Amino acid sequence: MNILNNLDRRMLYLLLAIVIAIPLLAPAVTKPLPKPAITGFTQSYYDTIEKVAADPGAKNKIVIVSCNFAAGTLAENLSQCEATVRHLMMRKLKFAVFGFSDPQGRELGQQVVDKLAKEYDYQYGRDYVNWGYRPAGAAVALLKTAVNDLPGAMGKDIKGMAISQVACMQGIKGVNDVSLICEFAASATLPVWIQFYQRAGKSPIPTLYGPTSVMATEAVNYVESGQLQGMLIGLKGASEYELLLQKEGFASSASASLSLSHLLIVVLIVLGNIGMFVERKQRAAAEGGR
Amino acid sequence: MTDGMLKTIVVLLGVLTTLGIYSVLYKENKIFRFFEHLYLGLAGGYAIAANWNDVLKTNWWEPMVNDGKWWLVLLLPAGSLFYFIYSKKNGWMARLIFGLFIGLAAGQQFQGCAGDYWPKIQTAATKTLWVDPAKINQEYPVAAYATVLNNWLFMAILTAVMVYFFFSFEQKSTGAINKVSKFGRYAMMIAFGAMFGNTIMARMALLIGRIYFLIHAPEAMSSSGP
Repeated sequence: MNILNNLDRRMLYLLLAIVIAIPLLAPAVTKPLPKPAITGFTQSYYDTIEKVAADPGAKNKIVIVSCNFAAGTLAENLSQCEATVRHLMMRKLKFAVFGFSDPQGRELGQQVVDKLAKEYDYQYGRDYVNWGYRPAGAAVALLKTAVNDLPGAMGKDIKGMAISQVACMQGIKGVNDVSLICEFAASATLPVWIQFYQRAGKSPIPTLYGPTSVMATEAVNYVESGQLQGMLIGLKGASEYELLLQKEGFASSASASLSLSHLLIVVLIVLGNIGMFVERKQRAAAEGGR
Repeated sequence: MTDGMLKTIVVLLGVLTTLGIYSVLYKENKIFRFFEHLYLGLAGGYAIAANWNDVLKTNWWEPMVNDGKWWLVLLLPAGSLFYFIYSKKNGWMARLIFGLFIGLAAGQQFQGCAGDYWPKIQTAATKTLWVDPAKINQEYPVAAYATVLNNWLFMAILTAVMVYFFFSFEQKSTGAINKVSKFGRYAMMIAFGAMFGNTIMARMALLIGRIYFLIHAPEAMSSSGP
């Protein structure tokens, strides 16, 4: 039992890396594993986009794809963003990429669009626009201005063109012309949308959320209160969403690694506890024998 | 340099950087320190460039220089006031701009609180606490009862957690208030446990992302073409 308590932590790191790498190197090994169950959060996320797409008025409105993440959380946020953009493209919805938390967000969002644009025949300007990055400190003032004058508040797009001149922004004046907000975040940026934009128009704008899984628990009360219509919980949420879309990507191929790594952590916690209890018992016996 | 070669170099640098950063798991070393500082420098430089290109250049410099909006120059001294915080003699000037922004933020908080909490209060206050026989779905009747049970649980936890944070009177260890407060504490501990579980998931996801990148790096380089 001393081995358990004195195990070199580097051995655990190596074990973890091996457990994660096996399903990625040999996907066939994990084929018998069950697919992730679709949670209510993911299902309602999917249903909300379907509902928006089914609304004839949505054709003249725009979806905001808010990319407030950076390279540090690519595995979670980029997968969520990619699956969402794919869904928007499948349903031919016009959208705007935007970021106000980290400048990398607008570029990572653009990378996602570039990857999928050819497959769904999406063209910059005609079908989507990239509003670019705005500093977080100015986000509240910017969104408050964007309630009545969205093109004026955003100014110019990532290519330096006035947003009012971009084809897909024609007829978009303010908050009432936004059909959906999709927020992908690695920090607490959701409240800005909830507090200052979502309910500023004639009717509340449906809002979807893709947080890192660390942040998901705190957002559950927004779903409970109806301020969020759906949520993708980290990488797991993204893999569920890919299943619903029937388009498997990185999240689907990573879900087996995610499950196995959790299993390993649980086993290690149990073993660690067994080691601790046995050692405690041995110590008590030794002290009693003195 | 062709696009393919450039992509190969970018992927190779990505592999080197990933391995360099993870080398700290073996032990603290100079390679890790180098890549850590490189990352910080890159992120800082990138942020400065993005702020200039996306924000200052398009919304301030170009309108001021090209479109004749000369009055935008007045923003420069106003913004510069922030930097007087570093001056012992003229530090009071920084207070002017800080005061303005603190006032703005305080005003925004009123709207922020209403926008954030009012829908939550509304939902909590209008939860269904009794099963309405007329609204039971005959195909799945248990759902109505489960929803009501969930709502009772929600209300119980909400009350207990609020009692836990109510410090206006003494919570005696034998009193009913103390028992309710304790229930609130346990409920919060369960929530924190869920948060911790999700934290593990997030950390695993980040590691999976990097291992996936390393495994598929040769593929990414070969697909980059000549």
